[in-house]
Amino acid sequence: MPESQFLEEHSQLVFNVALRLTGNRSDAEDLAQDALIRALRALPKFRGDSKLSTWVYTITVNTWKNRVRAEKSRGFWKTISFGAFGNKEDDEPVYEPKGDDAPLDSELEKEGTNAVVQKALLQLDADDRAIVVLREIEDRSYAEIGEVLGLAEGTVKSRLFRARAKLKILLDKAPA
Amino acid sequence: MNDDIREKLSAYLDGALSDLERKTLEGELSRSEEMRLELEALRAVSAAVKGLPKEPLPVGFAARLDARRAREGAPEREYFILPPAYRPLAFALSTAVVALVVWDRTVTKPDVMAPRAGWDSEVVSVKSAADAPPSIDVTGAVSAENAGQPQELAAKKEEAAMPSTLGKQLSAPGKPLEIAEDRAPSAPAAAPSRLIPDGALSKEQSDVLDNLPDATGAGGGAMIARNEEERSAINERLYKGFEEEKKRMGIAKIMERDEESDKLSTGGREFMALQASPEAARVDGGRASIGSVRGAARSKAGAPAVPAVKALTLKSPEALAAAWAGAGLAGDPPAVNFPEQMAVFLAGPEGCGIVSVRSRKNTLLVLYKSEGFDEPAARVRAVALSSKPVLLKLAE
Repeated sequence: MPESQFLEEHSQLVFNVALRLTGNRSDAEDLAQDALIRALRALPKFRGDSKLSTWVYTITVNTWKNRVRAEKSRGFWKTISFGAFGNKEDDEPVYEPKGDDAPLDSELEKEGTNAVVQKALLQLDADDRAIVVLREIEDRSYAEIGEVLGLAEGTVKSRLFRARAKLKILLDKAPA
Repeated sequence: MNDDIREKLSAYLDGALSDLERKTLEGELSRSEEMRLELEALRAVSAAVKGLPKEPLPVGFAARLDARRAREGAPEREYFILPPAYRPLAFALSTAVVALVVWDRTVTKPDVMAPRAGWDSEVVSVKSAADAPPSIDVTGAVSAENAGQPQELAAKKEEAAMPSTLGKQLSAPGKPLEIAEDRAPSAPAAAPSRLIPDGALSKEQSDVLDNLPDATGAGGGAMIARNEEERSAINERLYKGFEEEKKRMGIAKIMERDEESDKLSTGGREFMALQASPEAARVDGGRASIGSVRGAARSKAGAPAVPAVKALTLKSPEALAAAWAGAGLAGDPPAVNFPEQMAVFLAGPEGCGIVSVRSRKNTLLVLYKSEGFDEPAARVRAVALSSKPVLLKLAE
């Protein structure tokens, strides 16, 4: 497949997933570009063992998870280095949006509900967030989600249930 | 309601149950208000997430992506990454190098040009030939006190019927040869090589002295530099030559001399070599200097006086001949199979002789009689080469 065609067909998909995983447009664009570049490099090696979309989702989610791990590592050293001098409350969670632009709740989601949902989504751990995004937003099957994340279908089913339950709690706690 | 039912409700929401499970669950849902409420809650959460809008690609996304690809597509600088297995070795090597550099910069090195006093002197500054030390180490084995002796001894060279070249020139009758160990220069003297008459040393010794740095070099500022290795080599060669010379001269042992008491002792650094010399072969004066005096008879307090008798151990035919002649004995001494054997020579009054020589564990016992022997050959016994001290005992 030509690179231009691949980008045309998958850029939007990758950006949407990245937007919901990261929570802001700036980080989403950076993540999407990173994932697409990796996908383009690996594209000649794609053998068609799975759906191309599944393969692209896998690259996107893995790229994002790598970033999360790197952020956690930097956050650890940041805590070690400045923890004694800084205010602990200033240490933002490593998976929180880092972009300079305003969060979705003010720039994109004009309705309060969407902002609350996005905020609750960001409070899920990486795998759970990926499962919810792939299931609810990308409408992927349990089998495909399991393939992307390397999990069994049963695991996907139970983790999706727990993620929904946690989201329900978070949304119930959110101010109306 | 347990989590299994709630998980089934979540799967039911996604249409992920089998037909049987779905029908069973639908039956339970129709009977349970609580389950219906739970299902609605999960459906609401799902709908909320599904309701999140999809955003269009940011403006310029494609251009920025192309630019980034161009940037990242440029050939990256290649770094050599050491395999993990070699990293400990690399760490150890780098640590060793750092330690070496630190050591090199912190440890003070001795100034090799700085002269130090005494035995540790490695460099001796020589301003002129007159300042040249008479002895620097064993190579300069002649002390300052002996500097004048060679000329004196040379005059007696003709008179001395010494079998050994060194003995001929360096010994004085009745006076032991003094050999000084290395000592700091105490008085101006000639260069070491000039202290010793021609032919007085073996070829080995002469070669060593000839190869010494020239202390009378042009400009009067020559340096005699010896490091420890050179000194050791010179000492070793000289020791070997000296031992050969001792053997050739028939010197059995060089004993240390006590300056104050003028007796043989174990202290001090000067030595007295007991050597063969017809003039020195006087044993009646109590200062034997021929061969090695290995034992002497002593009178016990209150006992009848015993004539002075001494036993010499001689390890060369020349030494034996000298002792024989020195004792005023006629004819030739008995044959001794030198050097496998050595001769025990009894020096004493006329008629004395050896009864027997017995080798004991720690001593060589010489039984003798002070009279009664007509044959001078009774004064000599050939025995196996030994370094045991001689014990003289009057035979009953």
